[in-house]
Amino acid sequence: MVDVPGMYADAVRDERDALWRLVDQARVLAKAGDLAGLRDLAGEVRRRLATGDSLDRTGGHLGANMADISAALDDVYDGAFPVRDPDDPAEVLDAPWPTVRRAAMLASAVDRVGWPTPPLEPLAERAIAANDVRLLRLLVLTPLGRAGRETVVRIMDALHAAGALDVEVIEKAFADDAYLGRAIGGEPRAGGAGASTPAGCAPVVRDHFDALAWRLTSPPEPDWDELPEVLVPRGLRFALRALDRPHDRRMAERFGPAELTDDERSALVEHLRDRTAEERRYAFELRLPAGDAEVLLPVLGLPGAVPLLRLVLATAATEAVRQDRAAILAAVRQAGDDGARRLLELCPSEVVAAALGWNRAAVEKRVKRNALSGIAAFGLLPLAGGETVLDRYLALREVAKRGPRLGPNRRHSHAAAVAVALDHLAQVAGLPDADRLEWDCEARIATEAPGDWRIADYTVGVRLSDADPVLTVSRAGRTLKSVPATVRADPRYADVREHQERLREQARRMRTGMIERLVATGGTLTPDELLRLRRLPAGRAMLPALIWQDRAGTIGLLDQIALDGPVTAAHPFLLYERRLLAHWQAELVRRRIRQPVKQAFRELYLLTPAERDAVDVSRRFAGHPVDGRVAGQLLSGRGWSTHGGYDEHQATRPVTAELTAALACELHGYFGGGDVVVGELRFLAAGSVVPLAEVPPVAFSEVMRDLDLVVSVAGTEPHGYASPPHAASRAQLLAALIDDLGLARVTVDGASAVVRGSRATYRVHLNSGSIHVEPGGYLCVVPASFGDTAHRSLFLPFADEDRMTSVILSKVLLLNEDEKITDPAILAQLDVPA
Amino acid sequence: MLRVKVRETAPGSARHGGHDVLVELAEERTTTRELIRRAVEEQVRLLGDDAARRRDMRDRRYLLAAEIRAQAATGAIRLPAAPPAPPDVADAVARAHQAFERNAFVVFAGGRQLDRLDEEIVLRPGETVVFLRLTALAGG
Repeated sequence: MVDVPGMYADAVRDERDALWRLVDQARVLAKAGDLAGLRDLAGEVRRRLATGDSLDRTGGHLGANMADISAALDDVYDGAFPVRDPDDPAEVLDAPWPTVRRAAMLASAVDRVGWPTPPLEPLAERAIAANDVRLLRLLVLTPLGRAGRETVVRIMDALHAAGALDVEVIEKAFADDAYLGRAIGGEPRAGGAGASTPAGCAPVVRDHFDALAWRLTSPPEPDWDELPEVLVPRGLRFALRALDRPHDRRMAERFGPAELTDDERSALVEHLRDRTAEERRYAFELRLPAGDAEVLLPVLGLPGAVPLLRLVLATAATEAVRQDRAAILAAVRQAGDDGARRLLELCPSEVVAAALGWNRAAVEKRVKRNALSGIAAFGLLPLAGGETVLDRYLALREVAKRGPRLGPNRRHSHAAAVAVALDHLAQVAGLPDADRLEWDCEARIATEAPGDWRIADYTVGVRLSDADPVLTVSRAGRTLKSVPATVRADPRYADVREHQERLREQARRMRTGMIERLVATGGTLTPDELLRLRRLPAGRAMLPALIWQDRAGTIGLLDQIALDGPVTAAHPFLLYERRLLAHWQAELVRRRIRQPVKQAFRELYLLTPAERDAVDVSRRFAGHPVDGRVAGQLLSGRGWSTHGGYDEHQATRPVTAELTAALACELHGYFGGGDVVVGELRFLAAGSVVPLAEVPPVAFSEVMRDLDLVVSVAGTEPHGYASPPHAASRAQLLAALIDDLGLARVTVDGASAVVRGSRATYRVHLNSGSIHVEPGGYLCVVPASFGDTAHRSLFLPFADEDRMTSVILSKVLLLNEDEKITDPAILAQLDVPA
Repeated sequence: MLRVKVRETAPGSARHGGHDVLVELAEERTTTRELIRRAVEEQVRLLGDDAARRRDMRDRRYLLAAEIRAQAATGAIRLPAAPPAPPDVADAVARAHQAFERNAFVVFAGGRQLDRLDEEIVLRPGETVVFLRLTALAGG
């Protein structure tokens, strides 16, 4: 016996002995010519094997230790059931035991020579097309080969259409695949998703299943092992059987949601009338997954709770979803306070309970754990005694600040949950929307505190300096440089500090949340919004330092333009286009204006000639290796979502309502799991690629700015290789270079360099670097070590512009002197004895 | 006095506007060692010029219209990052010589690969010199 751990050795030996006894029986039957007996015995062997190879018996070690038994069985069955015509698939399939010889015949019939369990699909297609009932049945009944779930159901459909779908076929199909019900369909999917179209054979299969389910679960004890999974039985008797065994979870899951007709549903209600409250509640619980539990509400004494139940079921989401508070409260009113309480006991709902303030402590705990739906529910809690809208607003802002620490993609869903919570809070506060709530709260932060504090004979206040709140202390009109100890010791000093901290947070929110977005998108403010912003201290400090464009097109600082219409924050692209960029940069320096975010000095990216030529793809940052973890954080902080190596794009960011920037990267596994090589950038609209020239220049510039930041901050190659704009395609560049080198053996042919070496003629592709050995071979040569930094600090005017160019040139030079190659891994590929 | 053109193909490269580099040699007859030394010196000088230009922009803190036009052609307009400290020329030359000897790069001149540092070469006007980084390769 091979590789059997000691603990399974005895079990494997016993099972083998049992199987050998069966082999002996088979030999006796074969000698007597008892073919029917042999067929039955095959089933017994299969069952013995299934239990014998199970994890709890032999840990799965039997299968690897029965080659001799299999061979013996093959001999018996091949002898007793010879195949007369190997070209007749029906005859090959019609076997009690899958001998190796028959499997090989099947494999060659379906053109999969060498496969131990060949796919049956080609034969199935043939049988369905020819409506060959015998072959169709054999395809399901045979122990040979393997067919996909959908194929099996199509075979069964065909048999059903031919009136030949019998119990034997159905039972074998379910024995092979307990989850076959998934492809039979016809009932709602788990989670309440819509019903799929049932398969043609569904009625017959379900009749069979219902009968089987009833039989297997009849008293005394139900036998679940034989019952196929997935399918839901039909009929009140099943629901009642589940109701009779209130502690049988299996029964509850499988039979509780049984499919009922309207009459059966009424009958169930009648049945429950003279039952205990306990049983009625249990019936309700059983029917929840079936979706018709509401018909039981009257019998539970909750006739008015139907709308509330519907609402509870509709809001059962793990994600944060906006709820209509008024609708929740209306449904609760209709159910009555007591009714609502009892319904939530039957069917708990975090949001509904939160809207009523019944689960405050639990919700606060969930917020601490950053649960998304918990955060959303937090916004719905009614204000507790003494709590103000502003308190809750500030608490939510604190929750929001935790987002960036939660991982690259989670931070986006966290931010979305906070946005939902703010919307909920706006509903609690009776405000029309979250925007309005934000304005109101921010304004209140600024105005809430008194102007100045008098502490002893000092005047203490908070003044803004470039939107940064600083503490000022003065005595008798003279400003002090530091805060005196008497002031620090005063309890009111803490209030001053808190006020300062709130103003600082407000300035931070305004800078990173609103002003940055406004400038990065060239966004617009209505006169109303502008007015409200300027009422805030941070707004008063920041807005005049920005460059704006008014309705008439005038560009200037806030005091130089008309404010009676909407005003647009000037993106540097606008300034560049109007040839005003140099002017404004100089002007800001001259006026000593410090902008709250980069505007005139914001890095601006324009289409390069290479990008124009490439039409819809930018390779400006392609080929840059970056640290995946750092890059992932930078990207997600800028609104990018990162994806896995097998996704179509590895990072995407929505840039306008229609447009998404999509970056391809080379990475292993997931973004952040290791090194990432930045690849090509495209812009997508409705799934198709948009030419770069049609991308709004502001959006283009901002996306390139993100990527430039990523390669310069997260880049892992030394600065000598940094940011070479790929002005010419690599192939053209290499071709010109190779011409320059004057290598006698090398010629350039289109996008390939042809090297006439001493061992062979090679064709090196100048874009990919792949090497073909003429006439029809392939030579794999790779950089000996990745991230080699040998060239880091050489100050020479190198002609190769990036690592890939260097790799390809090195390949050409290597092959140019191929007689000097000593690497056995290369020589072996060239069939040269090393 | 001879000016040799060194092919430098990265247009818009951050190092300097993407023109071929001209290296001045005292006479046509020279050695590989001397050619590398002059190329390094010229490169360090260009870096110095570039650094001076960058420092200039940074001290001024804004870009001139001409600078914006020049940068627009490269696809990105921005105040340059602080230039790195200038390398020591003698040290840079020594490192380049060592790198040549361990085949970190190769030099082609007049259609011929230069093998040794002390190899005598004769350069003619109009001939291009090419420096190429090598990447160690292995069968895969």
